Amino acid sequence: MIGGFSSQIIAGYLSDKYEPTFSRTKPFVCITMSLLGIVTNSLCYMFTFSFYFSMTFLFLTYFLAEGWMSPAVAMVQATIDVRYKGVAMGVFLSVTGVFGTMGTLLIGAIVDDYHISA
Amino acid sequence: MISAAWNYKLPDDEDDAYYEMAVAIPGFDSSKYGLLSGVLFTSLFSITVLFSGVASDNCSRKLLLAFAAMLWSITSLTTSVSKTYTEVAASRMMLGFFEAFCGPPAYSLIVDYFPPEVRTTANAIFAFGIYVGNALSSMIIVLISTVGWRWAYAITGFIGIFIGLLVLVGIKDPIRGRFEPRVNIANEEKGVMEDDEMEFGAAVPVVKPESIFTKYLGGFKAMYQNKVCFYVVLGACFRFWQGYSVAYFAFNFFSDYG
Repeated sequence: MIGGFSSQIIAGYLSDKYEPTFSRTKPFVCITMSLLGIVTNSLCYMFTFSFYFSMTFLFLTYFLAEGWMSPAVAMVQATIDVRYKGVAMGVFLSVTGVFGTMGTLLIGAIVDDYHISA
Repeated sequence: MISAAWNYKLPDDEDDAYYEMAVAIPGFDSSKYGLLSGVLFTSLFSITVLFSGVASDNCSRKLLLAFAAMLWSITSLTTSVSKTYTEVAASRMMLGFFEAFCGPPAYSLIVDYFPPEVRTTANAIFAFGIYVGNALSSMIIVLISTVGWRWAYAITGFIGIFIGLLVLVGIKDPIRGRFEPRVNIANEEKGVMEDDEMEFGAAVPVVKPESIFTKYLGGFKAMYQNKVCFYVVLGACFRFWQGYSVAYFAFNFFSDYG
C-alpha cells in the first residue's frame, strides 16, 4: 500500500512538474518505471536468495514500478477528443482487463503443462 | 471479499457454514469459485465498461457513479441472503456489471475537476483508492471472524449504499471539457474558424447531433487513430498482463517459503 501509493504520487508529481519544460515527461516516466519493474520483479521472483530478499524487492517493485498508470491515463485524457473521453477510458479499462486475465490463464497453462513450481 | 469468505477457516481448521461460504452454499467447489472470481466477473466487466464509457460521455456522471455504487452494494446484500450457487453467481455478475460504471465517469470527472497541470497527480490520488481498498479487504477477514460471512457481506453492502448516497449529495458534475482548448467542434469539422467573418443575415449552419451509436463507434475510431492512445493502451496491456499474473501467482510463490 505504502509502496504503491508513493510510486503513484512520485510519478504524478514528476509528470506534472516537468511536463511544461520537457513535453515527453509522461512517456519517459512510464518507460523508466516499467524498465525498473523488470529489474525488481526479476530480483524478487527469479533470482531469489531468501524470503526477506524477495520481500525487499517486492516492496521496490511497488515503490519504483507502480506509478506508470497515472501518467498513462493522463496521456489518454489529454489527447483524446472531449466527446470521447468516457469511451476512451472504457476501451482502456476493458482491453487492459481482458489482456490481464489472458495473462493469468496463459501463465497458469504454462505452469500446469511444464509442472513449474509457482 | 469472496476469496476470504469462500474458504474461511476457523483456527482449528473446522468447517462452519456460518463463516465459510463454500460450506454454506451447496456445490460451491474450487472450480466454480475460480469461474466466479475470475473469468465470469472480468468478462462481464470488460464488455459492460465499453458501454459505460459512452454513457459517461452522454449522461450525468454524478448519477452514474452514485447509482452504480448503490447498485453494486445491493449485490453484496443479495449475496448475503443467497442460498444457491446460481444466486451467488448472479449477484457476482451484477457486481461486475455495475462496477463497470465506476471507472469511465470517475476518470471523466477528474478531467473536468482538475486542469492539465495537476491532472496526473489527481489520477495518482484517485489510484490511491485501489491500495486503500486492498488494505481494507484484509479487514474483511476480521469482520467474517466476528459476524460470519453473510453479515460481513451485508455490512459491506450497507456501507456502499451510504457512500453512494454521499456521492449523490456531495459531488457536483462540472461542465464537460471546461479545461479543454476553446474550439467549436461543430465548426472545426466544417472548416469554420472562430475568426471567420459571418455574412450578416447568413443562415447559421445546422449540425446534426451525433447518435449514441455514432459516438460509440467514433470513440473506437478516435482511439485507434490516435497514436498516443493506441500505444498507451498497447503498453498498458502488457503492464496489466504482468500485474495480474504477479498478483495471481505471488501468493503461491511466497507460500513456498513456508
